[in-house]
Amino acid sequence: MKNALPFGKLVRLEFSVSGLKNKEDAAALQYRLLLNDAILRCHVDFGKEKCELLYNPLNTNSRKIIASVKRPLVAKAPDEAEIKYAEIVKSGFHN
Amino acid sequence: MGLAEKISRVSGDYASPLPVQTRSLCPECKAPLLAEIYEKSGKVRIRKTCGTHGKFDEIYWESAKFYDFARKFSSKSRGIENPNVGTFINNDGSNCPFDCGICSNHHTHTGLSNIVVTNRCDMSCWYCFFYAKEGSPIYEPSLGQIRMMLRNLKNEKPVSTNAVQITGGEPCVRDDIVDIVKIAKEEGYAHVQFNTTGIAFANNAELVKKVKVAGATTVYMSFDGTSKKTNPKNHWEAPFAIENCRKAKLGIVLVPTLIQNVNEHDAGNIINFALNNLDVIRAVNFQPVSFVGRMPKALREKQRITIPGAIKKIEEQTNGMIAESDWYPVPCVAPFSQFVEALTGRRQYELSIHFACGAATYLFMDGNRPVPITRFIDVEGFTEFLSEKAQELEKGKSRIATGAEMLLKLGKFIDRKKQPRNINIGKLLFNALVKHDYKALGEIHHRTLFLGMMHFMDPYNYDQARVERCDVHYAMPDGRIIPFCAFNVLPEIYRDKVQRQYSVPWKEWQNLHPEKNINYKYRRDVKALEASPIYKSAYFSQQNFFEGD
Repeated sequence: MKNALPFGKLVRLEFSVSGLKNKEDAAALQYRLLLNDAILRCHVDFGKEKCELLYNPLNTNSRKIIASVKRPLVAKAPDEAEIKYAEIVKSGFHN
Repeated sequence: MGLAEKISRVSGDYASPLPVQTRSLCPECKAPLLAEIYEKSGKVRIRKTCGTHGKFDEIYWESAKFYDFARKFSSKSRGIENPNVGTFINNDGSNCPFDCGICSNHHTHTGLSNIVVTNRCDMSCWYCFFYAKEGSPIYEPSLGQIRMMLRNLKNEKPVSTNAVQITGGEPCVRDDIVDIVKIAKEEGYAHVQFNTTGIAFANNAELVKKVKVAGATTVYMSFDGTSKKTNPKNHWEAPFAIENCRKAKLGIVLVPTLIQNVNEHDAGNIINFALNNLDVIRAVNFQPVSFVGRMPKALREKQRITIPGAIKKIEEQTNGMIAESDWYPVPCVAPFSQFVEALTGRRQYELSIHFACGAATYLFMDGNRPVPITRFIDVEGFTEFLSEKAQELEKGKSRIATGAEMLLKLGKFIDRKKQPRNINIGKLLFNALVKHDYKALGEIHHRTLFLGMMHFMDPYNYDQARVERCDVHYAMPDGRIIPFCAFNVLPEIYRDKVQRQYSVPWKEWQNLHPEKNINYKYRRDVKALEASPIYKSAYFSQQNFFEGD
């Protein structure tokens, strides 16, 4: 096992999703996005029609991710920021 | 009922009379689906429809009667105070089971934690889904990472787990396994168990002594039957592992995976085998099969067995000496912790898992006769009594008065004529519950056999209400804590995905460990093993405790 963390910087991507019919639809989109190895975390909020995710920029980019959301769903207005993976791991551990 | 109304009923009413709405998964595409658990011809089934892959209708439990009995023991759970809801991603649990971490929607704290210490294994069983095939990346966390994962679990609030299972792959292929046990002890774990084939312990008595000295408490050993046919994995080695554990005074739990038409006919023999080794075997924990991956319906129907089905088989195979009425769902013991909590004012570990996840009973030995605990203790009456007392304490009743009442009324729930000779159950229970003297209870545990059932799910019978209440959790090196039936049913987004991230390629691992033969697979000398007196004594000199009159 790698003793160092497997990632350096990740990208936090947020975009709106329209066309979700219900919570199951939102969860299904979340699952499909998580199947992408480059996407480490993801949550699709049905009520807010919003998707938040973290991805490894060495393996994909925001444009490709947005394009992977297929019709009848429509993803747009992406907003992205860089985050250190170490911070994500640190926030995950209970203190 | 509209869809929104149906969704709002999900989870909250999980213990209602059938039919019950829940959420499940499409076994083909894993799409989340609304599902219904319902009764048909005395059995409990789960049905769901995927828009793409059609209808699925699967057995959930073989007995609607036992389901109706079990659901009444459902216990309220209080979850954890410091969930990992994500500072960067708002994974609030609304898309369960894709939001794990552990989320704010999870109802139970960790009971048994699991740390995967390797994905290597020295066996290659065809049915196993959990080891690195040749050429696959090797996942083997460092000791530092293992300590971090253990600490993460320990920091769950308000109740932290006291039990950890070291698992794999085969954990004993690691050279530093003794150090891992030491770290678990340093991090405050009272109960440290190995999930293993036991083959390393069969072949290395010194290793058994070392892990025992380091603080290991239990060997959770796969044991699928008492014959070569039903237990091809470790039939030959199990007697030697048992013998080495006996010498080292290291307790064993036998873990049979039960499959209909494969080994379910051997369940009674397995219990009998355990009773013949009661000085070292503490428990048998049956695991009715869960189907990983796609499987044709006909084969599922042929091989599926669930908790009531396994209990029925045991009743038949033990001549009614362990009957269906002797089994209780796991959450039936929740009133014990509620009572102790009310008495001491300290939060206690609560076994508030879903009633369909597990069942258990205790066998006491009365001379040469195994007697289930239910034959001399009114379990239902006693747990109801404890619940009442807990409520009274919470309302301010004096602890001294409650203790005195307990002393007076405890005997009412015990049939002294039927209780095993030389054991004063009433005194033991009083000491444990009121005086918190668990030593005597621990000693009695050495003269009893715990029988458990733990039924893990698969995509066909997936019930979200169950996974939300799971208390068998895996810690991951990225800081997340994942319930068993999310970790193993959705490996593509949890287990395998994260292990890939933290692995090294096969060749690189071999270069890093030139002294190791990464391709090593265990080969047994059947003739030599079968010729040993230890083997012969284990299988051919057994007493039959369930012989009919």
